[in-house]
Amino acid sequence: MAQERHCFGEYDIAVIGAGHAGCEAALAAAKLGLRTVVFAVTLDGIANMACNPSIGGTAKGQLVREIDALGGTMGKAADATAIQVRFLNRAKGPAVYSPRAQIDRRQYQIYMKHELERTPNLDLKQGEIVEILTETPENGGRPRVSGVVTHLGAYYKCRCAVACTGTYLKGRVIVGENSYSSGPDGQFPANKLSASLKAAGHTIIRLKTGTPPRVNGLTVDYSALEIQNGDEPPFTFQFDPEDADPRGVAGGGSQIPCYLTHTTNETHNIIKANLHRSPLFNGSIEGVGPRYCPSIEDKIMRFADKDRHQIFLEPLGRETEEVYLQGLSSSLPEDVQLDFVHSIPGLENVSVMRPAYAIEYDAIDATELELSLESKLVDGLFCAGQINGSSGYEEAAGQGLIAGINAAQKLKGREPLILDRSEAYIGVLIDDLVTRGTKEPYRMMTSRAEYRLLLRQDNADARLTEKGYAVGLISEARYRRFTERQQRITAAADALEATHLSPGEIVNTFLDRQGSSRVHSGVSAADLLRRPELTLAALQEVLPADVKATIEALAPVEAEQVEILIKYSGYIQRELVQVEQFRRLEKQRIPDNVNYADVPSISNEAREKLAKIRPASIGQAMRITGVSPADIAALMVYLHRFGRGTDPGNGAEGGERG
Amino acid sequence: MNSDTIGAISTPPGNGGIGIIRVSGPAAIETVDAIFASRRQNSETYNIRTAHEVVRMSAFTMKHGYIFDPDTDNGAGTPEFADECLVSVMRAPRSYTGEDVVEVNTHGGTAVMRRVLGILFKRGVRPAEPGEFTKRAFLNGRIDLTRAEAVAELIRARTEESRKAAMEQMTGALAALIDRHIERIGETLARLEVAIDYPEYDEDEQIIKEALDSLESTGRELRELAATYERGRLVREGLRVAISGRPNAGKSSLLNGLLGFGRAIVTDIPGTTRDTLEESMEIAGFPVILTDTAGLRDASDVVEQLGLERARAELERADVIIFMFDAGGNIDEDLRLLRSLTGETAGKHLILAVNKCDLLSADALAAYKTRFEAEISPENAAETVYISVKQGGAAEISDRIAAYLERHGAGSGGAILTGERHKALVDRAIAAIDRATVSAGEGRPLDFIAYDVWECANALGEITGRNVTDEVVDTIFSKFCLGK
Repeated sequence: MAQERHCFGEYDIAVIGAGHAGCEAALAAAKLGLRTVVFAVTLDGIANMACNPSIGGTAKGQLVREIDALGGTMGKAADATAIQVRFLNRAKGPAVYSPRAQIDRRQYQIYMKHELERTPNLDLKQGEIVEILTETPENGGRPRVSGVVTHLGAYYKCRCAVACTGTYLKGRVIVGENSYSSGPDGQFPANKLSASLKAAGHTIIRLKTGTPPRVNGLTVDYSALEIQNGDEPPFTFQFDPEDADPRGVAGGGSQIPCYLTHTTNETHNIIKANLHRSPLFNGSIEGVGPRYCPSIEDKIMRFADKDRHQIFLEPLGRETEEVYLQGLSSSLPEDVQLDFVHSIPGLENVSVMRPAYAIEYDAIDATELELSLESKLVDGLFCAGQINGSSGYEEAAGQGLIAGINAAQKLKGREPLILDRSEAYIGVLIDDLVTRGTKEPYRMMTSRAEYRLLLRQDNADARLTEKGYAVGLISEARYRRFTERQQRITAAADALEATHLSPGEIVNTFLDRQGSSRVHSGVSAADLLRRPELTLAALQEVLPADVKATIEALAPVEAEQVEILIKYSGYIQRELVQVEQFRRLEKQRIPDNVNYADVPSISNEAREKLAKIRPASIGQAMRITGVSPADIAALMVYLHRFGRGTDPGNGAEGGERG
Repeated sequence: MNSDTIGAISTPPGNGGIGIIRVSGPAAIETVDAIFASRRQNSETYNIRTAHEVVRMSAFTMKHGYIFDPDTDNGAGTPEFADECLVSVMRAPRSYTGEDVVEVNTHGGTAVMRRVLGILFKRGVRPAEPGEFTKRAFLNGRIDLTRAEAVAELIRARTEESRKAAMEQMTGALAALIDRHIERIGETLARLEVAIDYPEYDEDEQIIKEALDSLESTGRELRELAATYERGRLVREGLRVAISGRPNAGKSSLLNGLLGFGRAIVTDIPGTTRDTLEESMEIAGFPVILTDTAGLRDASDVVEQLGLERARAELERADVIIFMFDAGGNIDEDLRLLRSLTGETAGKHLILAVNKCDLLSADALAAYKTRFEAEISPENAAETVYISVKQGGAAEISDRIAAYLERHGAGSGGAILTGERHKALVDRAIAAIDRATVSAGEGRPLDFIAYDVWECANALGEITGRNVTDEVVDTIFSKFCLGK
């Protein structure tokens, strides 16, 4: 069939969709030297923030830092277009410090589109992909991606495809009693590709999400509202900003405030009186919505004892008055929306520009993917973002970056880049989706990460830049700066450990002033820093001149890392011990060709799950729901029995093997 | 998988003549080495932490010495000894499991073995899963391949069996209690996690305060639960009651009176009982082990000397000590001896029995009482009985023991902690709560407090096999109002 079509072009990799996943996938693949094409239903919808105009936040800020450390683009684009930056959770500990930026939504799209346009090896095309073409290899085996076809029938040859379809896939927007076929934010949907994925054997599931109304900021009465300003001085997501983009706040752009208001009794009464008109309650929505992102009507019903809910007003950009009302996601009819919006302090006379809506869309069951994000069913098909059941721009971008990298790695004949749960939030995210699947849109949370104290935003470059460099997304110059930075951090930490302070008057009067107990014998500077009440900045006062100079030479982000490394070394050590145990299980590989029907003594449920998910390691197998420790024991015995299990790096056990 | 070191009691349960604790894994030798000390020849001193005697042992040899708890070593070279033992070493790959294996042969007695295991667990040895020694043996090629299928079945069966056994071991009350704590800790965690993951959530401070309150009460209840391990021990192993006092105070008569038949030799010659005698009986439905210790005095002959040493050791092992006074004897000497035993009686329940009261006139007895009560603490006075063993006074002692059992053993019928694995996990949970509380007090940030709360939740989750992470995420969504 494919041969008969007119071929419009030949690429290594075709990326389907240019949202947050698609942009990262396309940019990574092209930068790695692969001929890449990226398709968007409309080029005016590239990298659109269809929901809140912000990037980062708890767990998500960590994801952005990781994307940046690996050589991705989201952090750079956010820095260039930020209109307010804030560090969240400053009081709650370094593992959960979270950078967040309010973004000029339109500028961000322009920036990303321009990046796509000017990146070598990358073509950007407007078109809805309706079919992924495959061919079956002569020796049998699973079908292989051979091309993609647009809604106009144009056929492009490719060896890999990356599906980043967002909420476009059979999108259906619901506002009260009305519903219609649509993509997000008034875009066209992509109605045909689902069938192609289904024909390839993928399970299609239906998910739902929603977004609140936008209003004209000139009609808001801010006088009664609580203002929220950005942090000064502003920070960047990038670890190594080459030069600050003057459009972003870090480059000198002014910070625009957000505001806080609350729902009222009247708001709640209006909603309760109109619940029967909600598609969520009258059953006309079939998709599963995210529990962490309930609509306002959901919140009022489920949390009836709360007499008010927070509403944040977030500006959409510098050259618009449009304001996003965080907290008012809804699928009630438009007239009810107008009523309840007007019942909120500051919004009494507001002009609603876009109503809230719920949107349903198709996704696949991500357990049908490998940890590389390649389909187990179609050779060369990668999937990233909401199609895998995730939610959020940052989650999408992280997967897009990995999918783009791994499509390129595959075509170069290299091993895929797989980050494990102890290395990155991106690793936790992908492992959760692929190993356990999800029934609702999956949002990253720090509580999902077992090794949260290691997966901090401050050390994302220490964790991942080496890997980004090995893959080829980090330039020599940036890598050199990175290694120098790491050396400075290590040298400073070592110096603090080695600095001995004698228990004289100087140290003790300093401790008195800091409200810290006196010392009676010598201590290291590091020991003092481990006291909760002492900071590195304060400690400077009693450090010898050379150590003081070493510390002063550090950039603020470097000093932060030094302080965290020393202050929490006890916790970090404990976590490292756990990581070592975790890695041992991850290293015990399970060969691809295990026939689970042959494994004796495992439960039927485990057999079924293992055969479906085909875990790559014993560690991954243990995380599958429904697989018990007894099943794992039986599986391990089976693998050894047939000499199939390999256990690299554990030769020290001593015993001879049969 | 096998790079951690595991340990378990490998002899069948019960008070056999000898008990073996098996330790297997890369750290087996060094861990036992750190808690083992031999006695220096012709000396009362021990080779503690200096000799690395276990490390230096050849394979398939045994060595005599003592197991001690290094945490009790204040540097003076006299830590608390758990038991006298023989240690044997097998080196990888020539051992049952194919790993380094150390076997500690103790004098038996579940309590002693648990004590030794407890010290090992504190030092990083993990309680072995059921069938795990066999599994390791298999994985390391120490079991013939032709038996592989059978072993697979065996391991599977043991894993399953043990889970059932563990479940049965857990009384319904215990399972319910652990589940309740998991739920509560899970909610506490959900609160902390909400405060972390949703910075805009507007009840932040309230959440933290409530979380800490709940942590405190969970900690208290877990401690109460941990204390029932003692009660569990009483049920399993019985209450140890030692009878002590100066020679000829009537110790053996009391023992016989309690037993209701003549087991110990009773004569009028002081010092007749040269060794300790042990008898089992039942009081208030509980097993009770009675020991009659040698009369304590400055003995000159060697046999008696040995008996005295054992007597002191027996007092240390006892839960309850009955110290006998002779109403017709020298009260000052009796008191002096009692005071000289302060070390041995510390922390024990002490019952003072003034015997032979029938030999005194009413006035003389009243004078004795006045004198006696002036010398002892009110606490001790409350646990003093004036009896004549010859005229059936043993019954009064029996009542006192029964009352003690009522307070510490019987009663409630609530959750009792019996399994050592459960005890280790509950202890881990308590330690984690303590660390979290300290961190909070020191003003450590929330993520570090949460770290230990997670550890607590996971330890409890291991007892009943629940995945706490999933439950916490579920709780976050069901109990808190979050989102756009």
